[in-house]
Amino acid sequence: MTNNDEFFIGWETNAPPSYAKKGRTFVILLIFIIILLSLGWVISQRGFAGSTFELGKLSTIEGKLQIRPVPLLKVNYQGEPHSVLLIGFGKMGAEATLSDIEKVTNESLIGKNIKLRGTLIFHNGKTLLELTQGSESFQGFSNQSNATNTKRRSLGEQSLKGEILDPKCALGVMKPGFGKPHRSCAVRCLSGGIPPILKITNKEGGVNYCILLGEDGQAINKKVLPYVADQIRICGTLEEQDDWLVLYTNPESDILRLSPFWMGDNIPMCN
Amino acid sequence: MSVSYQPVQWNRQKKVYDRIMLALIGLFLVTFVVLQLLLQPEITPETLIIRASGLLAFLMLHVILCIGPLSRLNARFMPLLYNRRHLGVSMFVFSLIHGLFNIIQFHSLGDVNPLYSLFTANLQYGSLINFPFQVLGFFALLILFLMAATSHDFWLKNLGPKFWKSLHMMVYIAYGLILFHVMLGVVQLEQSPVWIGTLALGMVLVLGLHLAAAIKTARHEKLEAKNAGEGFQEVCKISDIEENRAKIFTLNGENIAVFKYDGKVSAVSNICRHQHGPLGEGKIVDGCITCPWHGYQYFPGNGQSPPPYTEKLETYEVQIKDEKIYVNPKPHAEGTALPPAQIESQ
Ligand code: HEM
Ligand code: FES
Repeated sequence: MTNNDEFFIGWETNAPPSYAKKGRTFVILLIFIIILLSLGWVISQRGFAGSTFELGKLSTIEGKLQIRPVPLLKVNYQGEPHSVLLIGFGKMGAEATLSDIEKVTNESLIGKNIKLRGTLIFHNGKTLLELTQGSESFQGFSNQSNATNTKRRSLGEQSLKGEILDPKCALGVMKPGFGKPHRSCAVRCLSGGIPPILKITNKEGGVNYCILLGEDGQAINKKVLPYVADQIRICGTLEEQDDWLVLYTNPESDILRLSPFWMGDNIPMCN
Repeated sequence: MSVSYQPVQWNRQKKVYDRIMLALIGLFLVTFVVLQLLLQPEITPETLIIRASGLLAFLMLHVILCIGPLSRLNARFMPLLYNRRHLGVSMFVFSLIHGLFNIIQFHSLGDVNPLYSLFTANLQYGSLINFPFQVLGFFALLILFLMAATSHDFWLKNLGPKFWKSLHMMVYIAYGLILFHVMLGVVQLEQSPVWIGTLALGMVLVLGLHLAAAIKTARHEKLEAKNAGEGFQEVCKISDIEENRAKIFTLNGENIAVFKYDGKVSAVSNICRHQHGPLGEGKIVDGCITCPWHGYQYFPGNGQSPPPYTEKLETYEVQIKDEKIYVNPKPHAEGTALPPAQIESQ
């Protein structure tokens, strides 16, 4: 209790001097705390990926439409086949949009050379196209017919360590697009039909990605949901299909959850 | 109803309080955003909004929680307490911005309703490390919403101070939820000693101040009268109480403030009718007991607020014998006028 005559009453015009002084000290302290904390919080973040999502900018690309291993447009990039994975708007896969387009064209587009307009997402040498405008993404047929058949190369039985993610966020739209805070978003994307990918990092920090499919090439989105954004080990048959790795796996028996990454070591690519 | 809110309506000190609060909020937002754009420009605007609003709300919550015990430890911090509800409501606004942007960013445009997704996207409820931390944030936000929505004195009146107070004590539950929300969420991603350190430091500060204030209050309560029982009980010497001030006693479970003023001694309930502030830590100003928290006033002789206000306190009989004060802990109905004990001038 204060022992002198000063007494603070909020509805009076001024606080007594000793009270006002304490208030000022508190505010000055807060100013320092605020500046220090913002600096500390900002610089101690682990940083954000240099990935790109060209929000608001539409691009048209031409190529051959494939739905295996996942919906993609095979384009010719500097003489090499380059797969542009197709993604729906928001957290949805491309299938629904493609079938909407086929309702308009009245014919199957699979294997055809077409032009698609959408928003580009790219990072680490991978490219995705979001079909932002639904069926209006279709810009007609293309007479470029230089797409070759997919080159497949078997890499045998493999056991890989990594994190299951959705390519849309991991390769551009979200930062961070991985780890615990992002888990539920990745779950939404996969459950909306965006194909799951495994992000693998080798000891040198090099990153690669691998599309995950069932043993018969079927989608396994729902089955991998419990493992999304966790560190896992996964086994299956690895294949290179042009510029993407694809792992054919049995999600019921061949996925093992590892300790959280801050308890374990680096994530070496293993075999 | 409006007149009874008079003491906590707009006034100059409130305006000063709000201006300082807004300036500090602005300072945080500007520093954080500018530093972020300078040092880590790759961040997306959504993440910037989410982090800035979340961290700001978190910081404000700490300030809010520290003000209470600070002003118990040193009454000169009282001005910080006076308009704390504006701090609370602003904190809720930033929490809401944070929550909404998170729901939009992480859960919308998907195959199910975003709110349903919030609860079901991550189902590892049985795991500590993998627990869906967003759900904790959601319930914290719900509590903060209830508090912000009932922060006006209208609700205080209609819910009754007791219920209102319990509702607002839920801020501690919200604080616990948010601590886990941050620890099980972003800290697992960032893993930085700065993030973990500030979290721990904040917790130590909040707990430490509350503990210190609790110890001080407990000492206060030792001032209980020695001989419990019926009838008048000796509480202290006249000279123990300063002029226009009070001492607080707990007699037979009654929390009583004994005031000395103008050569008289009166006893009323220590509990302010507004938000249960400790009247015995107040002062007699212009002939009225004035609550240290928000300045509600009561006449010491009858426990009634000066018209037009209608608040009333219980009153207690007081006697003086041989320089000692005796109080009868049997309460008289709220607002009962009792003759003050006269101090004989030597
Ligand atoms: C519906 C309610 C909420 C949801 C869905 C939610 C969701 C999230 C998510 C997903 C993150 C990680 C974001 C990131 O990667 O930066 C996060 C972080 C955080 N949340 Fe919440 N939150 C909610 C409510 C709250 C509330 C009420 C507070 C109270 C202050 C709060 C404080 C924080 C803080 C301090 C962080 C760390 C900073 C940051 O990363 O933004 N959250 N929250
Ligand atoms: S004036 Fe608010 S508690 Fe007494």
